[in-house]
Amino acid sequence: MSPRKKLLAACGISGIGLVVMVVALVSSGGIRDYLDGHYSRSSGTGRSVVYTSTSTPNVVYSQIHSARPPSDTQFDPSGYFLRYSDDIVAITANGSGSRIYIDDERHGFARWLPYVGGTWGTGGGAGENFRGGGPGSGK
Amino acid sequence: MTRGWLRTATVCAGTLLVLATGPGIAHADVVFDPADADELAAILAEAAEGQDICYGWRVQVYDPDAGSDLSVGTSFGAGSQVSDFGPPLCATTVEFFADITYTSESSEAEDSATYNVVSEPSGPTKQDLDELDIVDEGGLVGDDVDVVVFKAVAALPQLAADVGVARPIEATPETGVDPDAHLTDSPGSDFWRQVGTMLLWGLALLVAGIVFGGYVMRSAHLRPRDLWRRTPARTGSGPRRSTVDGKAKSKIRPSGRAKPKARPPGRSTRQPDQVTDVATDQHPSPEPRRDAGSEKE
Repeated sequence: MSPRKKLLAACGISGIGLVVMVVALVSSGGIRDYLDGHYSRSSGTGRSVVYTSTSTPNVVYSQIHSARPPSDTQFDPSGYFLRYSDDIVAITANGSGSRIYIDDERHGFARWLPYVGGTWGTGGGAGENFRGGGPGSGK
Repeated sequence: MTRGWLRTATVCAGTLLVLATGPGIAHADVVFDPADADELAAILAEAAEGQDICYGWRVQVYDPDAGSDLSVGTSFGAGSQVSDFGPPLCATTVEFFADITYTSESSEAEDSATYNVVSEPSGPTKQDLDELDIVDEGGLVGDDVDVVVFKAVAALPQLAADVGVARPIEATPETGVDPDAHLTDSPGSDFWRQVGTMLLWGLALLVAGIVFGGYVMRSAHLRPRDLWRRTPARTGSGPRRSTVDGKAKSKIRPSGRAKPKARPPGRSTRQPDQVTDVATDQHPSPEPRRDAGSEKE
């Protein structure tokens, strides 16, 4: 391969890297912007907003989780809970659809304390406050 | 006296039986801490009461050092199995199954795990659970297997409602905000979690291209302006020669004395002293030269 072709290949590699970085920056965004753009706003006061969706909680959770990966999640028979750097999102059933709550961290934690308390809040990561068990013999 | 002993023995036996079989009692569990197993059973019990479905989990762990062990529990309590309760008490069942196989340190085989969701007569499946992205093989053989199994089992009632076999349970938010309730740890940056991997890959490709391009230019002795020339670039490694004018040529002539050109006698235009110097250098002779026309006798 001639040096000129090698240089073209190098430029191609750098170009792909540049495109990947630009796409990453363009596709990034906050969880609040995502909820505003994809679900119907039902009510809201201050930093606490409620959205609705005709999809089931399972589908809504999958959509939000893949679009805006949370730091931690919690599952309960009555809903799914997602933790972000500044916000807490709760997805609960609403008839055949879903209701989506978003609050800032302080209000969200207090609001959903019976569901996420004892699991989130005082440790260094997922499951930190879980009492834990396990065989402890894995590689 | 005999009746007293008999009554005491009966009470003790009954107490032991209740302690051994009653709900909320700590059980030895290969996956969960006893308190976690009881908490999970209580969550399932609350859901089962509202949905009229029996929930449960059964995790089999194979360990070459410790042997085979089992973690089971249902909405009736930790340590019980769904198969212990048939119809009409459990007309509909949803159960999480997992098999975890650990290998010994000396084995080259990796730890492995499988899992499934079994519903009778119908209900959520493994595919429904997979959409939540809670469980995978790596999570089951990892250090937080208890957290993974706990989340998967706790999600079963919501999945049952999603597929339409049970009434959905709606979480109700607390109305009063507790001023003392606050999160004390940091969840990290949303931006880096979301696009950090893509940015790092892009940056790696960008740097790799630049480094590769620099290496190619350096090894081929190319300069940036050579990239825009139409003529093919030289790839030789010798010194560059200028072919523009004669002065440049003379610079690379080997050092040493130049061979003088032959000149016809008597037509030199040089000064006498210069002529003498040249002649002396080229024809060294112990005797001085004599020139009849220029020296006085």
